[in-house]
Amino acid sequence: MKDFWYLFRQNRGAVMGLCLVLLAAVIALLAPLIAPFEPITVFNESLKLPPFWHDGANGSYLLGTDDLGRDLLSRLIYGSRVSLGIGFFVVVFNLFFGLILGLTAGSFGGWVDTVIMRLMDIILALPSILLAIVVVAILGPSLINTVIAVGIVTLPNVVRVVRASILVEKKKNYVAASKSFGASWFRIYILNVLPNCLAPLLVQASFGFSDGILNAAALGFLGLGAQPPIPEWGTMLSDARAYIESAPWLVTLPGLCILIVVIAFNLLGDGLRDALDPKVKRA
Amino acid sequence: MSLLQVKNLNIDFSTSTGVIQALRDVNFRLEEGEALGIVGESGSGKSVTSLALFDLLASNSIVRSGEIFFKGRDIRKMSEAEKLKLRGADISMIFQDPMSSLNPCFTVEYQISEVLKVHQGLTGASARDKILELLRQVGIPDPQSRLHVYPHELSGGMSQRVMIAIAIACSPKILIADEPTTALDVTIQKQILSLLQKLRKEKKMSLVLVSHDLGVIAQNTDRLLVMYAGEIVEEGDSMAVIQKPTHPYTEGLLQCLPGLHSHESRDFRLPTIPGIVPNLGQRPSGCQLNPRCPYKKKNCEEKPVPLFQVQANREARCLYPLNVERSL
Repeated sequence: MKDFWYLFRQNRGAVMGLCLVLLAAVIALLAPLIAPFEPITVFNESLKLPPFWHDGANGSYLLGTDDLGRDLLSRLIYGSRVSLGIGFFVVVFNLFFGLILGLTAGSFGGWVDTVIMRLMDIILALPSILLAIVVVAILGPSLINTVIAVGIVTLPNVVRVVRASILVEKKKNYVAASKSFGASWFRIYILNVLPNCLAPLLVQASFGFSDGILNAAALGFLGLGAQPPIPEWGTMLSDARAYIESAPWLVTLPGLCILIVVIAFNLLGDGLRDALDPKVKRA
Repeated sequence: MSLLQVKNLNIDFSTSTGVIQALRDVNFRLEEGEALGIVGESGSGKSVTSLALFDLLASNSIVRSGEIFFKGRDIRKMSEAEKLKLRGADISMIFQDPMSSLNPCFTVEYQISEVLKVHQGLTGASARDKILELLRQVGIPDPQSRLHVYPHELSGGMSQRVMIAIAIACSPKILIADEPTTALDVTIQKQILSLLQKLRKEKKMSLVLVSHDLGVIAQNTDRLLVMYAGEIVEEGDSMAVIQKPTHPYTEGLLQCLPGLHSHESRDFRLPTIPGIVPNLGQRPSGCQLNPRCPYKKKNCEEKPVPLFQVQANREARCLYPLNVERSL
């Protein structure tokens, strides 16, 4: 653990990513305390006010207001809840089904493995956003369905990572040893092998987070994700698209938020991968 | 009735280059409290034999025929649950490379406690006491301080001691040691082997010692099987086999051992057995050793050679055994 932290700290990008992720998490958790207004409160008298550095800004709406007169800063802050929430639940969804499918495929092998992995190949063969749209079209647009759609689309990555590390681990001597001591399938794979596969999974979870947020924003932008008035960043982008010339901050700022959070998770994932890679660690 | 009896075991492996016969016609028995040695070169079938006793062979293996009786019951006909109960409790095994045979994620205490929990349902304080006692039995100094140590913090010898502790935790009737000292240096090797002997006597276990080192086998076993190309080529009392080998292969193996003074002459070359182990996919006809045998006669290639009784308690798979008067 000490080793890990030492190696992780060497990577400045990763530390920055971690800080940004923590910051975003804090903002999301404390949204009601930080945000100056409710995200859905409409101020009729102040439509499309610019942010504070522009002329004609109103100091009480720091980042301006949108076309319906809602405070943009508050919406962005509440939006972090939605986006991080989606990311989190996508990862939970992925890990849950990814572990079940990956473990089954990796440990049993044979036709079970073939069936599961070909299914995953089919999912991978379709353009991910298209598949997500199909899923949402079937289930109907809502936040929960967004999570399910994005979860299904990104599931193959996790299943592959789990299966690959199970395949590596199951050839190791300690597995043969625990078999010879009479350990059951459950004991061998769930209790003994799985903890050895956690490192790549952690990395995958971090990337899964950013993937989830990005895909959910894309669905939101297409109007298939979170439904108004939920302050989801992708949905906000799409609503503000019409005003890209008259009120460019309405498009820029949510876009920037998505960018920062996604980059933060990617940096974190990279750092985790470098620090947890056994080849680097043992060297 | 013997504690363990292996009858007519034939095992094939299907590989990308075709089916190979890994074990041919293996028969042996193991008595209670006995130490049996199995020697042979790499690929001679030693490890396959020991894994077969657990019914834990790789998935590409095909057991053509054979029965393995433990206390009179055929292990291969037991249900999966019975096999799980057998492994680790009645028969257990220690492996060649102790460092990689322990799970890197868990502490010593956890790994020993797993076997106790699975087979005896011991948990908590009673398990803790038992673990400390086991660690003491396998000669780990200051066991209390080793409980929470991870495998990477242990030396090779210590890891092997922990493996032995796991293996003997449920007082098995048979302990199989598959090259237990190959990965360790010579001084540790000696310690581990005498530990195994001590435990065998204390716990009245039978020991199967698999090795390619005849010296190790000679000192630590009562009876010896010499394997070549998946067949048992010689069987007998360890000392007798080593002093007077009857199969040319055993003799060849013994000549390959460096002696204490053999290096003193400058142009001394360690003898080797000419040729290589046959490709198990394309076996020679007749006696498996015939392409390499210095005593080869014409009819050695004709047909497979069965095991002959050459003396009392002594069998060899050779038409012209050495060191015996042909009175039989």
